Amino acid sequence: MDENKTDNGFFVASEYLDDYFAECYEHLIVIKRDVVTLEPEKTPEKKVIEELFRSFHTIKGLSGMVGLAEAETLSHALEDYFRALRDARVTVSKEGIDILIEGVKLLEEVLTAKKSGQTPPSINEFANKIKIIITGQKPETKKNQSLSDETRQEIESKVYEAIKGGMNVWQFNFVPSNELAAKGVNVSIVRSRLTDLGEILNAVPKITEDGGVAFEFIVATVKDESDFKGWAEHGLTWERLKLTEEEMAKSHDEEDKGGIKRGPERSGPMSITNIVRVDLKRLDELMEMVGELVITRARLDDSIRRISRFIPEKEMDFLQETHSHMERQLRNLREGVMRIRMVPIGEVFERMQFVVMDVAREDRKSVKLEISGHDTEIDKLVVERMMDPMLHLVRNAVSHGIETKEERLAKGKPPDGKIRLNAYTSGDSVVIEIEDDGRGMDFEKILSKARSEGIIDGDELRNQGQTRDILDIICASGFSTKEEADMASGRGIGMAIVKNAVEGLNGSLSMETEPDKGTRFIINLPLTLLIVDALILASGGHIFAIPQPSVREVVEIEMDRINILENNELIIYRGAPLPIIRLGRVFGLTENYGPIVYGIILGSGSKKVGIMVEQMLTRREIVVRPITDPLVSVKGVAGATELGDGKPVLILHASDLINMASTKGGVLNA
Amino acid sequence: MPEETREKENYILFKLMGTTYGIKSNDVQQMEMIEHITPVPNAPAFVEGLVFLRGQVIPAINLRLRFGFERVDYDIKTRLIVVQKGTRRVGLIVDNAREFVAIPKDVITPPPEAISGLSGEYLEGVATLGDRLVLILNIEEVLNFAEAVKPYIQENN
Repeated sequence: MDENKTDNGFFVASEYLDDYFAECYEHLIVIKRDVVTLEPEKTPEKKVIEELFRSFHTIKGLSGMVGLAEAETLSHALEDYFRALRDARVTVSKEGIDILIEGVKLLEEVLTAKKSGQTPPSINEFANKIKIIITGQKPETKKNQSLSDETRQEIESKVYEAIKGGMNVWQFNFVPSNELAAKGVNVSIVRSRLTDLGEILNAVPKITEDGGVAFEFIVATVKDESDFKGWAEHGLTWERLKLTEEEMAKSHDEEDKGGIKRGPERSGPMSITNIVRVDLKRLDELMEMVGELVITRARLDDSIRRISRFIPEKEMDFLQETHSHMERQLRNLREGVMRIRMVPIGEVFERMQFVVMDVAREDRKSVKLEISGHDTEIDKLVVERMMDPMLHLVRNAVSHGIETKEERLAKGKPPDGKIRLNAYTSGDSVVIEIEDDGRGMDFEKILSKARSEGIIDGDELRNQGQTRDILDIICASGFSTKEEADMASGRGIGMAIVKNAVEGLNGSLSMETEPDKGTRFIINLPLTLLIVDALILASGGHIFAIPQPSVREVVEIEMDRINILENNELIIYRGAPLPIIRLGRVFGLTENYGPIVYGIILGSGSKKVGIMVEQMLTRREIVVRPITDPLVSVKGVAGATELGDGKPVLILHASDLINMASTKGGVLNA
Repeated sequence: MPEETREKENYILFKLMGTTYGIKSNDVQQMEMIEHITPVPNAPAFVEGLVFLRGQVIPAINLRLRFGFERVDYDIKTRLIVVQKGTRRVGLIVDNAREFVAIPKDVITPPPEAISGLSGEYLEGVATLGDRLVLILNIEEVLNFAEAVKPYIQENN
């Protein structure tokens, strides 16, 4: 329990800490999304500054509550910066953005370190740097900025309350003059008129641009403009105050200041208060219960069929009808539970924005990120597992794909590189595309590198090679095309892990590339990990399922057309020899093959293999149950499912089978 | 010592090869009749396979094989005792299981040192109940993967 000891010496229950980290990460997502919109020497949108300010403010508060001093100090410093920006004491500078990115990274590192019980990095140097940024620049005087934050917030919340209460709020400006004074109109007259009109929420004197004096009044009233129309002659101008949605949300925020706040805002009709945060474990439990219900239903179905001949037809019809109702309702229930697990992919995309900016800055490249398909929904677990692979693909796109400005100009391309992230739903799967308009893949270079590293034999793929083979090569472990290990490619994970992660999720990875046009990676993932389309097959007296996305094709094979080459069995598949591995051999089952057998073609490129089985039965949607216990975690099995009778059916693990097939000694000589 | 003040713990008793064993009832989640078990290829021999339990797939261990006894066919008395230790849930197949008893702590003694062989490691103690001997199992040891799979690891790699 030592890791839960905080800097204050308090012990914080780990469940609160979990909440704390979850909350902080959500804010970091918002922060990163907003930080990347900042551009040097441009005045950022007020809304963005407010949001950033508030996010840091919240992290500061939360960190204080759980006693993480580093996170508190850091977010305080960052909050100060945005306060300075908001009050226009500083402008957004290149240095400012850089230090901001550094600060956000540092904050993330501090949180990650704390979470894993490690010593967080030192923040002192950073705190000094940001202080210089905040104080080092000449404060710019701007009119109307004399109010302190607290007063401004107070007024804003008064305005908010008044508007909420159905009043109209007007801002009056009065510029006194000698002429007006001669007419008897001075500031106290104006004030008393306004007092008659309604309630004065605020009154401040201001200096006008030409050095004169003016007064600003904010008045809440139930009366409308016709009641003071005539005042225009008396040096008054006015404007009705309306609150934007953000301001409304903000004022709201001020109310419960200090309390635990909600997650990031989403635009659109989804109201914040309608969001419930649920532990994924509870959803898993719910899913389990649904799974049990499915099994029970299948048993009921069985019993009904068995007793049907003893029951009068009329009664039987009724029973059948009720039963099929139940079946439909159960399906809806299952879908409903699935849907709860779905989250928009936008969150992941937003994080990428920060990565692009970060890597581009390190590589001194100029890269724009385009995002579409923000709202595409995908299983929460899938999203989590896709985070690292996507990070890697995006980093690669920036550091390997996109050329330097000079190179691009020389090629007649626009100087700014472009990376596009897109997601969409297609049938039962989600497609994620990561595309860059960079230099594309150099097949020759990749092939020669692969040869020198011994990934392929010298005479293999002698010619150009297919895109698919190239993808296989760059996904082979230990392959990297960039000579020097730069920051971006040196850290994190390789393409091998991208591919493994995608395939581990029953998805597939493909690639399109064209010299000087760019490269596009296409990731195809099941909508949810829990339900997948599968082919059901039988061999050696057992029934197995194999997820359809990992199957290239199923072919019928005539037994007498199988060629035997020493220990290998080969067939001709699409004009080329293809090794065939008997499933029974991999799994130690005794099979009984008829004259016609089936080959399930898995894998791609040189790693293609056919798994030979006795019979293909059907295609079904299956509920995947993970197998976690070490006693039964065996190679080649990805999980289990049941087909309605409550009997576990093993789900085959395609990439395991491919690997098992290629380790010759392990399989053929077994 | 008066009966009420003796410290007791609840145990589920089951039989294997005519010997009575006890597992702390806190470790036992439920008991089931044997239904369908799907064999898992390349798993250790004492692992009979997978069973579905409340929507979860869990391994079923044949305790006879785990303890090095011979296999017998399942019959009407065969039971699956589902134990839970940490996050692991495993089913133990035993000859029969019926009794639920409170055993006073003071009748449990450490296993005699003379007990040798496989069983020694997962015996937590021996309880004497009247003229009956109950071997108290250490479930963690029974489920210990590394120890249990030692003979199979070379085979599968």
